[in-house]
Amino acid sequence: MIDAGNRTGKRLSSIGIHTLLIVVSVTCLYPFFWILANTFKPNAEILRNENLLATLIPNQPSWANYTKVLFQYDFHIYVLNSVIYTAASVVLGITLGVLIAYAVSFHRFPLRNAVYTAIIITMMVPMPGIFIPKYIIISQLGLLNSRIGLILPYATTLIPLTLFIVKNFMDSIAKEMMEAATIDGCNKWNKLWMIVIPLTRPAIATVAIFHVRAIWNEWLLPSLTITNTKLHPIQSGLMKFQDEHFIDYSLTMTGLVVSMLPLLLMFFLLQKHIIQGISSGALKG
Amino acid sequence: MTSYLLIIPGMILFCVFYVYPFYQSYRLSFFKWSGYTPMSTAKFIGLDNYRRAFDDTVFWEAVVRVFKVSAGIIVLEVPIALLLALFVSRLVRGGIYRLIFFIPTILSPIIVGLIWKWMYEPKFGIVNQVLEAVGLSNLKHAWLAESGTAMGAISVTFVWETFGTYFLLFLVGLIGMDRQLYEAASIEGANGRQTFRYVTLPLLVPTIILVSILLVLGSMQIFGQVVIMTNGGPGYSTEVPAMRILKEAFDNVSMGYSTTLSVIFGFLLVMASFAQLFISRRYGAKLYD
Repeated sequence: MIDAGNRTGKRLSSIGIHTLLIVVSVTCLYPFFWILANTFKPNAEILRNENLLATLIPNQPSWANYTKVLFQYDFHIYVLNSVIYTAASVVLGITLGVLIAYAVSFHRFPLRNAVYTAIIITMMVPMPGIFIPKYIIISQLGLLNSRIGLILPYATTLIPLTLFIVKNFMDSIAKEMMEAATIDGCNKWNKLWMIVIPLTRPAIATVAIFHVRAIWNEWLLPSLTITNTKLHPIQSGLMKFQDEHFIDYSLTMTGLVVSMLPLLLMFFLLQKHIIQGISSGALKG
Repeated sequence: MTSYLLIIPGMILFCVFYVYPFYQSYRLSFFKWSGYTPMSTAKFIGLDNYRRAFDDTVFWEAVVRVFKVSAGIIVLEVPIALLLALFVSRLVRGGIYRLIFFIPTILSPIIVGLIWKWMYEPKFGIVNQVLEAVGLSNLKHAWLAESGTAMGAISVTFVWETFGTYFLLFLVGLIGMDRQLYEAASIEGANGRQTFRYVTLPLLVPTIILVSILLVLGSMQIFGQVVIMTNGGPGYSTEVPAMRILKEAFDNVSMGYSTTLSVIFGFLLVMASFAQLFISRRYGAKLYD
């Protein structure tokens, strides 16, 4: 009897837990579906203010907002720009970071620890302390309104985290393997290409995913340094667009969906890596 | 020699985009400079910028505001993330929740800010509709347009965006715990609450410290959402320090003064994280030694 009562109690608390978790899940997901539904409606229908469920179903769904946002306005350019900025700075940042990690992890040279410590400490420099001086140096270099003026500073911000993660990973590679390679006649570059990079690939992949998210989502620097519409990445493009069309909800919401879709896609394809990356404790959100 | 070849390209970029700007921001904080003339026209004015900053009530109100917001966010978000992690860690198939809770965290502050700006919209926004649906229509507000509710509304947005990461960190901490400790506790006759208080919580202290530090630093730099949702308004009621720095530089064309504010606020942020590390280490040690 006691046992049965206990079981009922357990079942009740389990129902309670599930209810709570489902409520939180709905809170996380409902906004997405609401916005998504609105992108298929004309503006007037959004303002008509239907009830919470009816609003999720457009009366006469149409792709009109998407064709407008993508081709009549400049969102196809913004997306392309963001792809360029993200790809270039992630490749550059990771390459430079991996090279430094390799030097610091395997080679003995003066200033080795100083280089490592100096770069890692900058991970702690808060964004509000540095964005104005960064803007100043970009403008002094004559790189306002240029792609390179975004890619170089972006790549630089990716170096510390790359170094931190990849160096830790490299430190675990057996030194014997490197010695054997030296005996077999490998020079430092061969060892990097044929041994170190293949072995650190998982770490590099994880870091790369987080870098892609960081750069795709970055908005502050371009909103200061880019005034030429054709060079905006997606986030600052979206900001500018919503400044100009803030009453046209269906269009701005469509722009928003366009700007988050590539990242959501990446997330669903690579969720295992992403969640493991966070779980390993090394990467913060 | 090769070692230097390996580090030089990265170090050059690092010096140009980190070290030099850092040095420059300290130097310029002692200069009067609009930012629109060549830097050579900047005029050295000693500590004037700092004197002005200490009398700048709008800036200090913004600083106090983010400290309050940060405290509020920690009090709200740490228990939420911990509680959800405790629940999910007991489920056999919790993977789906892990996935769902993590989705908001992959979005940019701009996107999250826009989504919630529309959710708070008085005419068609969801928030007021939900309140009406559950019979609390007297709680309806023009959330972002009233100075009493705007900052709170933005903080809720921040919690929505970031709790997934901290939930995951807690979940990892919980899953990694030694099952034998729980078995021992149950053999000793500990009930659920006692097990949590004397086994789970002490083991989670390092995770709680890590999460609080990340949250303090993250929430005090809250910026993108504010730019999109209120741009500091109504009045100055949602001004945050990062926004003061930006507005001084570009709207008030005083680049020199803006770097002074950057230096001061950057210093405060670093101090805050050290203070927290220190306090939580001590507190954690005292409680569970």
